[in-house]
Amino acid sequence: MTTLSTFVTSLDEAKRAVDSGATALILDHPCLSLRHTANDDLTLETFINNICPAIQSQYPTIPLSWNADILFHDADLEILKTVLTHINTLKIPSIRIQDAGVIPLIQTISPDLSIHFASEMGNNNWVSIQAFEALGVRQQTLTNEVPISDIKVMQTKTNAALEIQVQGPILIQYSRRHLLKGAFPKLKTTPTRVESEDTDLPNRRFMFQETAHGHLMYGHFHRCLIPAIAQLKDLNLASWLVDCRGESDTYTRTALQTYSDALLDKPAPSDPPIDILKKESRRSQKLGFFLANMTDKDWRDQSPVRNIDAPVLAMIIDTIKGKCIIGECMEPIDQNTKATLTTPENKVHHLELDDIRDLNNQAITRAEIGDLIRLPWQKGCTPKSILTKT
Amino acid sequence: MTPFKPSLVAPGGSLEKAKIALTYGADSVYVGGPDFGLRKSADNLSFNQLEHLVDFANSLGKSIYVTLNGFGHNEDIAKLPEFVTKLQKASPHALIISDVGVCQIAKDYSSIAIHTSTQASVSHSHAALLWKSFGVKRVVVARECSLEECRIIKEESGLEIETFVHGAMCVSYSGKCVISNYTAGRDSNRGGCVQSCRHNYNLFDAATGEEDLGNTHIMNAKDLRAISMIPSICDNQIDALKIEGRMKSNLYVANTVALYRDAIDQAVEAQSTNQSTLNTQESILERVSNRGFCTGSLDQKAEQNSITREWNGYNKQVQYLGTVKECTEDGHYTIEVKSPLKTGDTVEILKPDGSRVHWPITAMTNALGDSIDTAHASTIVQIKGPSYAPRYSILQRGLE
Repeated sequence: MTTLSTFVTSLDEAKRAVDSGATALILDHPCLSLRHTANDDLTLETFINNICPAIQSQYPTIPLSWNADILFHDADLEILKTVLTHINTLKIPSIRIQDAGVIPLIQTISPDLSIHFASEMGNNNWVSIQAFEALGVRQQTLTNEVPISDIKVMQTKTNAALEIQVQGPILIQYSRRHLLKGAFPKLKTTPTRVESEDTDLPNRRFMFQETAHGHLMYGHFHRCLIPAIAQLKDLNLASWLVDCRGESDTYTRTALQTYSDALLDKPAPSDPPIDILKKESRRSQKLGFFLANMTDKDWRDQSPVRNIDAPVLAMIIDTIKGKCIIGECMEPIDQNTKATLTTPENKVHHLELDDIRDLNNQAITRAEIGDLIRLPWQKGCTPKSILTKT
Repeated sequence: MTPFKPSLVAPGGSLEKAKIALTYGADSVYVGGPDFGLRKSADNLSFNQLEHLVDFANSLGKSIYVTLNGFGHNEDIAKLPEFVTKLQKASPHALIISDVGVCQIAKDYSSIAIHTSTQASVSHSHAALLWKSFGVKRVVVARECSLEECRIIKEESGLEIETFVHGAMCVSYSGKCVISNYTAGRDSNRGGCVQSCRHNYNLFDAATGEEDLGNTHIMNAKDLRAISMIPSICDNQIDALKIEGRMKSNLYVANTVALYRDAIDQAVEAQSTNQSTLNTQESILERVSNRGFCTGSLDQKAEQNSITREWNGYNKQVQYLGTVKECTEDGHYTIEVKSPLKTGDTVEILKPDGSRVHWPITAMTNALGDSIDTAHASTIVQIKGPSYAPRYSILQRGLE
């Protein structure tokens, strides 16, 4: 059964989440949560002593996990150890991490704790999924750049319990530096959230956020898998993650209810939820890379050098019109080698290299890597043309 | 006690740049192979070129590392065993890897040593220990680590530690950025980064989305320059110091490697810090194209002072003119020209031993030996210089 997970910081947020259909809660305290939106004055003591027990008491059957998804430095490890002690005491069954480096440490201190690995970026293939599974990770949250076809392969090749983010802002950059600080000398206080627009890519509003842990940048749209709900359900994943941190009450309730209804096979609501989510967040709601990831495939480098698979024999570095061309050898070249000369304008000449000379105009039968060679003039040839093996 | 001497690791964005780096004093060079690196636009090496370069490095007692530091998707993973098997034949001295899956395949299909890339953002000793359990020999730590943290990671993990000391820096934790994926359709973590972080951003109040808060290059990280910290780096016994820049010019590689080589040698052999020398080295580094400098997080956590918010273009005081391809004993240079040259120009030649000579060009000929007054970029010229200058000597000229 697929769980519907979301982040909570208070009992009220937990009630709202469960009322809206969440079936698993991620406890999100600022001390180790990268993207938290809670007030910084929420102490760990209050969270541990009051909020967590209240949520556990109210929802004894809802699975809980503790969010600890920062990248750690040695100085942060003491806080992690403190949190692990509290997690053990509270009997919270799982912890969510981004930093794989703390896996063995957690296993040493809390051997029964279930580890959920949510790397945000960089866990994109079935071999790495398998490797983390072998390390004892119980659940893995896939990066948002993994398309459905790859998820199916991962499910075939591994036994890992997989989660994907189905709704909400997507993190596209994590810096340890605080970049907003000092950027607004005219403001009395530095904002913790700012909308941004790349002047080279106008009309796309990215969100910047700063927490104690650093600077975060979110995509200009929200990931929203509602339009692909049938394909999503077919994947039969272990968990769907709805991330509503920083979003409105209406957004949160609408998002959770919609995905919950889908999991329970309830009919779609009359008010299109995507319109509500779009209005509330002022962000378009998109599938992102869920159905396909054509990154780099729809990019055409105009240079023919990039698009030729044959071994490059020489790069042309000088041409003297009507007289000769000069090349630098990238591979050894023997006399009479059959070669193809391709110009930057993609004009192609087929040659047999029967006349190779050094720069002193002496005929040679072989040139080595790095040698400069002189070849007979070829019409249309300019520097940056390439000579490849035919 | 013998002083600790870190090795110098330099970028080899092409076969020529790799040889320049080794010739100017790098102990190791990292290069991209035909695929799976993070610099798709560099002139990455073919397998034959890689074999050639490894032979060249071996002849000098130096090392070649191959970057395999993209985060692979399933389609990449499928091609990887054959690729790694071919790499094994070229016998590089290490592979630089970020992805746990790629690491697994590299171990299964080769016996080449593995270094964990900075892309893996190893920022504490337990992360290093995890990679040690995967069988790696060295960790290139996250650029966010201080020297003190590097020392702790080394002590706790027992691994070799490498840290960046010079060059461009990601503003984010390396590997924790996919801006290009969403803005340009290029995968940041598979070699397609378009450096959107360096762009100018209009900023608005988040609550309304309307109030204009101005515009700034808010994520435009300054370049790293830690040459003045070399003595401290040696004291902390950091095993290897890395220079960034596979996409940069021959001049950048030669100049940077020569200066860091000298700084390391002086710190270790002279066992004293000459502040005047360090200041001179810093100023020479400043002459070549840069975005302003800082020391990253090596001494204290990088914050706003590591950002160039007001961007007016690269700082540079010299122009790269060309590279000596051949030179006769009596000082006739064959030069690949990269910026226009004319007779009467006074140029500076940087030689692999770090020495610099100024002299005016009095005559030039083209590749056919015909006399010319002006040489355009992307041509070969022959010049009579003041003395012998080995292959890979670099010509530069001061800018007004």
